[in-house]
Amino acid sequence: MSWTDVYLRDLTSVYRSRTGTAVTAIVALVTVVAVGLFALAADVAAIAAVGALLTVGAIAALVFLGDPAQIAGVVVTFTVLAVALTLALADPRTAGVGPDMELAVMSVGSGLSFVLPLVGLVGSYAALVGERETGSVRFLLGLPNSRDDAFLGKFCSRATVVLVPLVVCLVLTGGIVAFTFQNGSFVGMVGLAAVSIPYALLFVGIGLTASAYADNSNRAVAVVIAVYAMLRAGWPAIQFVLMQSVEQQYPRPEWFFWVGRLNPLNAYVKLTTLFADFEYGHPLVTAPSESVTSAATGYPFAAVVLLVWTVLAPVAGVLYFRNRDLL
Amino acid sequence: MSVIEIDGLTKQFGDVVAVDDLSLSVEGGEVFGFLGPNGAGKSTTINAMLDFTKPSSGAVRVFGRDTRRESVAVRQRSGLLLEGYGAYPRLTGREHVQHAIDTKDADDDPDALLDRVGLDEAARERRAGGYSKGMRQRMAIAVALVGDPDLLVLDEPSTGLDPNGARMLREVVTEEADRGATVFFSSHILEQVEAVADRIGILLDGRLAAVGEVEELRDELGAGATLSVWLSAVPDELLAEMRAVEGVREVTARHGRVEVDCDGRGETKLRVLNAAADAGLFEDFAVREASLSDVFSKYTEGDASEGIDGDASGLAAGDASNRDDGGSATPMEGDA
Repeated sequence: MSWTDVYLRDLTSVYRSRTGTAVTAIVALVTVVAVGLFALAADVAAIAAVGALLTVGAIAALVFLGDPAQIAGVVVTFTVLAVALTLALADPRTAGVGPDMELAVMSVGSGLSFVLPLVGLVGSYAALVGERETGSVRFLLGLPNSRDDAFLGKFCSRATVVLVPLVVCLVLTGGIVAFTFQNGSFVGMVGLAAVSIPYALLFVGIGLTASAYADNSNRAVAVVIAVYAMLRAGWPAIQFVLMQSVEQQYPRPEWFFWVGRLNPLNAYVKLTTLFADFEYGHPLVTAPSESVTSAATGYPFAAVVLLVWTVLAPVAGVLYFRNRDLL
Repeated sequence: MSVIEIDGLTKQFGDVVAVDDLSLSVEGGEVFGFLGPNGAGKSTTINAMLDFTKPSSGAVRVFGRDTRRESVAVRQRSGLLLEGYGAYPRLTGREHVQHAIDTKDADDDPDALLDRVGLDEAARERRAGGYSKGMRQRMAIAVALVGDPDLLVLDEPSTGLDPNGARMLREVVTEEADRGATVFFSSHILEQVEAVADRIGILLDGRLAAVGEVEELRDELGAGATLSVWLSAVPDELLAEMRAVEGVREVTARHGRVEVDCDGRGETKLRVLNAAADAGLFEDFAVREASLSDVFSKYTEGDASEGIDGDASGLAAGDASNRDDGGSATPMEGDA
């Protein structure tokens, strides 16, 4: 199987570079480490201070260090510091009273909804165009690999780089939650992992498609940023522009949700709310009023939207890559 | 049977025609030298042959297979060393060769191949990101040899190789040809190609300017040779005498040295040297066979004498005049 050779070769290269470690570090910080800190101290002020410290350490490691072992070392050191500091700052009165499962699902789900696009896109935007720039594409496609093999092998390797830390970290998070949170559910965290997998694959797919399309890596970065900005900011902006023609702003009309819930970011957040009781809705999505009973706001619709995006993104890339000039 | 059949290949990049209606066939088992200056379209032709680039029109068949639709089958039987080739910086030399062996389902021993190209033990274990250009080129040759390919495509293969490396490359090409492989060898340096090639095609401005056996071409082009003769003194009578020798085109004197541009026959050179010896002034001599720059300038300017000032400038001049032509007059017509 030729694509498996591409897969293994690419995975080796990625893990010898800083990318594998960086992705693991970022995913670990927003899952295991964040929830672990919540378990140690439920009061949010202490966590915020510690989180800031941790962020500084992680950014320093990712920006200034090139060696995977050094990055891992700095991130682990700062995590240990953060744990110690949390214990020192924590209000002793909250000790023994675990935080609610809702906090875990909301914080991890929100964190991942921002971080998975980042690591997915950063981990894949250079996969194909980078080989064209360095000339190793002559190696990749000088060997008897078809272009589909090259694309599939790369997709699977970059997906592995994101999914392995994601699943491992969420399983560990599930352990922490089950033992220390009120009504904490291990199964809930596994469920969160299950809906996060297609979400992560979507952004690996978008990054790889940008890489297949662009003629240099700067262009690929531009495409990736444009797509992310469109989903994150452009989409809600369009919704609000459309709302200007409506006299009564609240409650939001039904079409508002048909437009909004087609956005994969919203579809993902909606799906994360499956795993805890969200009494007041999720802060990242507009909650429909009682009067709106559209299918658009339901779980099945969110699942279909996310899956369709996840399949279409890489398929578009491979179809374009098949027929383009590479050199 | 033809291993490579290029039929009316044209490739345009915007307004630029990189390859213009090129037709060429390479027979099984031959070593074909593909010559041309930088920018002539050699690499574009090779890219079309391997499906890196789509022809604007025309087609290429390798082993009788269409290179667009059956590219994987073509590459399964081919070994490639392409210009602008980049290694994976985080893989060692041996891992590169092993990866090629795995992908081709071959049963070669990576160390045997690396021995053959002279990449030493220590270097094989190092990551290719730290390789010199020559080391990378040796590694790439080992990769090309994986699976005893029926066709070797070598695009500017001597780039970055030292003299030992260049000799190794010649040996490899000869051995592979003896094994029965077809070799497609592209270069802008005539000497390298003629050392190994059975037949040569010259590409200028995306068109095939000439194709034939090495000797045949040299005679046909009348590219000849330049004879340098060192003299203790340079009297005008001697220069006149040399100019009178049949086959001599031009004689110029410079710092006690005389440059004689002639047709390249041994007879002509001997007469020139005899003239110097008879005058009692002979000190030493050297011969430079026609370089490609001479051939190119002959094509593009219709006058061999103008491009002999030096390889680099000759090439540049040839190149520039090619562009100025705008392809209106074909070099062949100019020559005939």
